[in-house]
Amino acid sequence: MYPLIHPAIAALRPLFLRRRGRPAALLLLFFMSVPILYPQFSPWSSAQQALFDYYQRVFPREPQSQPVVIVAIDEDSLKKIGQWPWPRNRTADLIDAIAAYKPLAIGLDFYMPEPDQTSPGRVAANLPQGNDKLAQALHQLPSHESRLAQALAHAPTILGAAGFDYHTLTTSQGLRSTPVHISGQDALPYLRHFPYVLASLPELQAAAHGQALLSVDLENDVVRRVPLVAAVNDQPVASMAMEMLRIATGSDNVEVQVGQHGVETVAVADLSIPTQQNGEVWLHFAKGGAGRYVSAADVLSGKIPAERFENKLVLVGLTGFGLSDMRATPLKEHLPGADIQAQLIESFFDGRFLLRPYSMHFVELALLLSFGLLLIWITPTIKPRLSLLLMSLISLSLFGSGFALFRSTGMLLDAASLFASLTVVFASLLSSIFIETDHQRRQAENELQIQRLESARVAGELAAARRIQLGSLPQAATAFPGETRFDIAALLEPAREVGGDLYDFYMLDQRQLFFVVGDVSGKGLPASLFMAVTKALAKSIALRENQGVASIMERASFEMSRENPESLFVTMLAGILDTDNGMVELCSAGHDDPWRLGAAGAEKLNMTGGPPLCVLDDFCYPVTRLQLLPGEILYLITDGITEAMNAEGELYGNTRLADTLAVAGTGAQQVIVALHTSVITFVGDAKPSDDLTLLAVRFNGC
Amino acid sequence: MELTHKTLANIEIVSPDGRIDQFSAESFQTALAPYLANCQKGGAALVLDFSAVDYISSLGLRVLMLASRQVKTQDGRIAIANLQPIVEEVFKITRFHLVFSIYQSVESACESLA
Repeated sequence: MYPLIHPAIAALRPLFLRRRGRPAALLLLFFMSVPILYPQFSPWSSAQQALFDYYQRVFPREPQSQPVVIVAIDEDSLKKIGQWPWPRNRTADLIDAIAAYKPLAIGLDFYMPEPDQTSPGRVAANLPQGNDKLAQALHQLPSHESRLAQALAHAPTILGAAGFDYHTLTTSQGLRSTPVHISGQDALPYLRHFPYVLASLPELQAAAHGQALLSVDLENDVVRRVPLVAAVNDQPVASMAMEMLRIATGSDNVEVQVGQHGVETVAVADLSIPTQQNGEVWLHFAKGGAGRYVSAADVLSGKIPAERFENKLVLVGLTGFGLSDMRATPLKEHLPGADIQAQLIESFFDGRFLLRPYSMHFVELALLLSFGLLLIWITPTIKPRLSLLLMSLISLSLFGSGFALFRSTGMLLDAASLFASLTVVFASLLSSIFIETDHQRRQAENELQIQRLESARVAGELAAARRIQLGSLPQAATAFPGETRFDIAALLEPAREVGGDLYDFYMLDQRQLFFVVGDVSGKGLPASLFMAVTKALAKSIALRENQGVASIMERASFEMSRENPESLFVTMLAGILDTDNGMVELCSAGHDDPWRLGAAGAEKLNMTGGPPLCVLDDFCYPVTRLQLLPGEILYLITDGITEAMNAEGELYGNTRLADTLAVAGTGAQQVIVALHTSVITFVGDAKPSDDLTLLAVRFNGC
Repeated sequence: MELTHKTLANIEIVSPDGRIDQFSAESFQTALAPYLANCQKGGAALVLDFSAVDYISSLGLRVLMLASRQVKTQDGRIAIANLQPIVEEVFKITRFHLVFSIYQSVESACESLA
């Protein structure tokens, strides 16, 4: 009945069939709402990231201010100063040079965890034997680290550090950083946690004014969010951007406000930044631009005008090829790590934050449920084409509001996950409709097939019945071979497969020809059965006890009435022709009178007759006698002729009948064909309403 | 089929209408049944006013035949009045005037049955 499908899917079929698939869709809607509240289980996170990236590409941040200058250790600097890492005294020179411009803060976007091998003491230790004097002289010189520590101490410097999830030779478990001030709830359960940290040498840490984390977590190799605070071995540490702002504003601490659902804001001085629950912010990226950069070589050679650094925050970072710490951004650019920190500070200054507050999940849940329920309510009641339009409108409004919210407020609405979830619900509804339609179609096909088989069977049986009924009628052409005294012709055409009309003729003896036409009340199969009984009974009576035509009628009526539960009756016109002399005895039982066709034209007889057989018990039928002249035809019909109806509802009637008979010809077969042709032409395309029966007996004479 | 009827002194006049053919014969029979049941010996005579009957087929005649038989066994009296030409032609061909008393008008039927 159904095509082969997986049993598991077949088992689900009733779920989709029930109540036009609404329960199944509701169940799916419920499942889809779970990842909205618990994003860690979301199957749509890639789509969400792609959408948020797309928001940024369509509306990248337009920087309003330029608070940060990046001193780039670029190709030019490497060429002039030498390979990285530079001797620490060279780095110290760079910091001094920057410090001379009096910037607000200097952040170092690189790490110095190992001692400088070019420091004088180190060089002395590596000198060949016999250079004792030189070694002694070198030992007298200050180490590069102490030189750098001095530089760091004299300027508002911050060292960068990197959080690690695992231990390496250069990592440690602690960082000497300015404590972050936590208020509200405990922040640690929410913060990104690093057990190890890659930091600079303790001597440098002691000298610098601050230390900060540079770590960012990548999602699919792209930087999207940057922590403002993270924990190193259970100690909250500020990120480079926050720490630089703290130093620049001369604040004591970075302040973290923790609420019921996690971190709410990270603040320094009077700048308060709303964050995600884990202390991260979504960074709204601007295009990476040369405007933020100056070359370290130019700084060292004093080529940079003083105003370039005036009231600026300075990040020192690596941009030279081969050194690069390049990160991919949602704008599909690869930017140095320092650029990302610089952009973060820029967006603070511009007051441009991307926000995905905790309450956004409830907004999205409400959207999912309302649109989902709308779809579940409407989809099964409208045409699939309209429901597709509805789904498109919902999707458009979701993505449209997503872009609008992003542009106006920086709110991140996850239209992608909503779209995907609603699509699942919608697909389920459409599948249900499809399955139901398919089911109904198959059912209809099956029913049609059964009907076809049934009607084929009935038609087959009726066709057989028709063959039997028509086959039981004598064939005029072959009934009396070699007969010259008379001609006889007959035709019976049932309106349906089988009919209630009859005709019959046979010789009662050498001289007497018996002929009869009849019409059973009613139509179809019941009438045809009664017709068969009547015909057989009449023949049996006529041949067994030939006592005249009236007697045959009366006996037949009596016999049939005895077993006639449906109280059917039959009109009958019977006659006996004496083939020697043309004398005819006629008897009518409620039947239309016959016509006499001769030299004088067509004339309808006027018989006394009686009621149809089986109507009145013990009725004595009167007999009408007439003399046929040679060549005269006696024409018997049933009411199917006079009551034949055309498409306009007109009856054939006695007038047309008389007109047709008047010109019908002189042969028995000829007049049958003439009248039949005339009637079927008259009826035309109209459905035949009654059986047609014609019988013509022509007396030829002796 | 709805039958309208009115009762005169000792005569029930029932008026069918439209065609009485293979489609309506059965409902005609059903509608007629209660009047036939009441048509008892010594009771009111039943007159079928056929003035509104346009056509009657053999199945309609069968209903009349059965009505006639039932009334006969109950020793009641039944007649038909006011035949339209087409119906009269059917009665003439089938000789149903031998089965029923047929009158030119309801009045003449009433006179005769009263």
